[in-house]
Amino acid sequence: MGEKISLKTYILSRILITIPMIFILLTIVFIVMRALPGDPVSMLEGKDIPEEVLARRRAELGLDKPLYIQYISYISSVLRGDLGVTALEKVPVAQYIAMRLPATVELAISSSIIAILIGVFLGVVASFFKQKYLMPLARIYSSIVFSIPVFYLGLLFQASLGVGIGLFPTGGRVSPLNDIVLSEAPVRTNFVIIDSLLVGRPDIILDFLSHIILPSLTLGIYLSSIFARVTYLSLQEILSQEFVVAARSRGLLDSIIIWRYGVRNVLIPLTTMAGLQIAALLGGAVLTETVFSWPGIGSLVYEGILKRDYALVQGVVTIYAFIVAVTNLLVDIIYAYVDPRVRF
Amino acid sequence: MSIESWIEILRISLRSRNKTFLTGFILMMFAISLAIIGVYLTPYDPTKSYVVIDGKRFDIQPLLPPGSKMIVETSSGNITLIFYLGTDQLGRDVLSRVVAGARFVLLVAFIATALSSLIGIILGLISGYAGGLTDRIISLVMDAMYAFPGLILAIAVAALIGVGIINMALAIAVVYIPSYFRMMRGVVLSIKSLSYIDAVRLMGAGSFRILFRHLLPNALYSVIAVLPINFADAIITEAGLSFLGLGIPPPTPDWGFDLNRGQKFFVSGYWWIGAFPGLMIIITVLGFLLLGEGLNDILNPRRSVR
Repeated sequence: MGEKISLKTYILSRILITIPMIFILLTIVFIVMRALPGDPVSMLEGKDIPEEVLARRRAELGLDKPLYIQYISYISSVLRGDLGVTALEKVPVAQYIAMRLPATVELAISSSIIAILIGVFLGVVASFFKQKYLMPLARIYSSIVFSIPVFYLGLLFQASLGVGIGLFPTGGRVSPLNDIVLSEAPVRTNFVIIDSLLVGRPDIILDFLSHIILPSLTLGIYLSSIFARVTYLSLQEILSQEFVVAARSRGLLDSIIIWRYGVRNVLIPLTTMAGLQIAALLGGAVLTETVFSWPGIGSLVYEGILKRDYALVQGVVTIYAFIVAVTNLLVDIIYAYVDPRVRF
Repeated sequence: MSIESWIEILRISLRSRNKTFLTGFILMMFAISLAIIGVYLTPYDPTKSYVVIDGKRFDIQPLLPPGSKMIVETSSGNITLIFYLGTDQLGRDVLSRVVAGARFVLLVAFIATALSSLIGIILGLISGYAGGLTDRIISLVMDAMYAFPGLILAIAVAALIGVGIINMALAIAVVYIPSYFRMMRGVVLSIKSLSYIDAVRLMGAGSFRILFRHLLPNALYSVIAVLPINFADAIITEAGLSFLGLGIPPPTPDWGFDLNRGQKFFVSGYWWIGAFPGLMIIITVLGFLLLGEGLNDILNPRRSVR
């Protein structure tokens, strides 16, 4: 009973810590987007636009006011869920983001699964062959994965598995025809799997899977080396402990020891790492989504830059701040749940 | 830290026969020499899709595969132009562009690394030494910056302050300040309580002297091994930014932006357009990464992972 209360207290204190964290993140976004030298409007919206148009746009965005007033109005409107309107269509930025966020969530989940599968596999293989020549392979793998820009990896997949042998589509989330079908859903969640069930066309899920495979492989491989490293290091630590030595002296095979004592204990550091990788994942997603025209919030940033839309870029960056803060909170809570030691 | 001590580190490292370090060193030297002298050796202007011979202009055919030859008739007879790595979608020599791109990429990464290490180290020193509220506030801000996706931070900065070498370096530098800060602060916290610092203080040294004469030099050695790895990461970020069109304006050769512009051609069979800029990014990044990892093994043998 006592433990339950302490978990609750712990979660509550974590939530309370997240509030200043969100404020600091929003302040950083504000400083970057407003207080840095350079005029965002003329930079983003073009230099050849007449001064009075720029001035009007600045006034629309509230950029003509003193910085502290801008800060207060930025924070208060963000907290009200108001991220401004896009420059061209005057659509609320928040609406845009809500429409595009599900695609990023889909990509994040599928690429994390791939990253963990590859990472755990490599980590286990590397620990298993510790004394043999295969050992440096994990290090070579992580060095090479580190050195390939994620967008280049995506292009390589497009060129080989996509256009090259025509195995997978190279862009979009579903085929154009299916996209039309999905848009007729009575309630649109924008999660393809849910939407296709809502319109009664589960076959679209297959189409979706064939579209998501290349982007998630790209992002998954990009993220996998850190998981390989974590698996390997935690396995080494666990395997050097006394209960493992005891098991080995009882004659248990290495493979059984790794599986039974090792992999299970590695799950905790892996979960934490998956959460901590959110920053790398979101950054990599911007490039991956751009390469594969995946309609998430990452490619929305790119479109914002291309369309020179200040409100759109600022809105998406603001949402990233929230995602980071909330993910950190969730990781802490999950961690405390699976490993009671951290609470004390 | 004097030049001699840098040379000493290099000498020890080269002598150590650490394979990781040596591989990295060779790759790094390859990239650096391309950047410094390569541009004088390449046959064509990387930004032009034509050559001028005897005052006459000849357009270069776009999308020529590697090793292609083009014969032009001039007043002094036929001249054969060879394109060792082919030409891109606009008819520019890929070899010349790839080589010229090295200079820009390395320059941006160098400025970015120098800036971020300088700012991060100074903030880390102050924060770790001062402690208390100052430390709390700086740490909180740095932690928040660290948690924020680096590339997105750089995108936001770059989108606002505009394109160009210095601006791009600034945008990238912002991303890496927290890593230097954290490391420096950690080192300062561990050295601060050692008795030799107390001794210096008892001898009447002021905070400034303790910080820069006694704490900084001792902490720098931990930073050295991180510098090349950070440099490698800065190149990746640079490539990402320029892939998104936030680099230097065209037609300046830039690997990331060339990959963006060549994307359609690259994936549909004109492999040389993307293969070589991509390969150059990988080689350069790998060079600095391995150099850093090797250096880490040599300088901090106890800390090495394996």
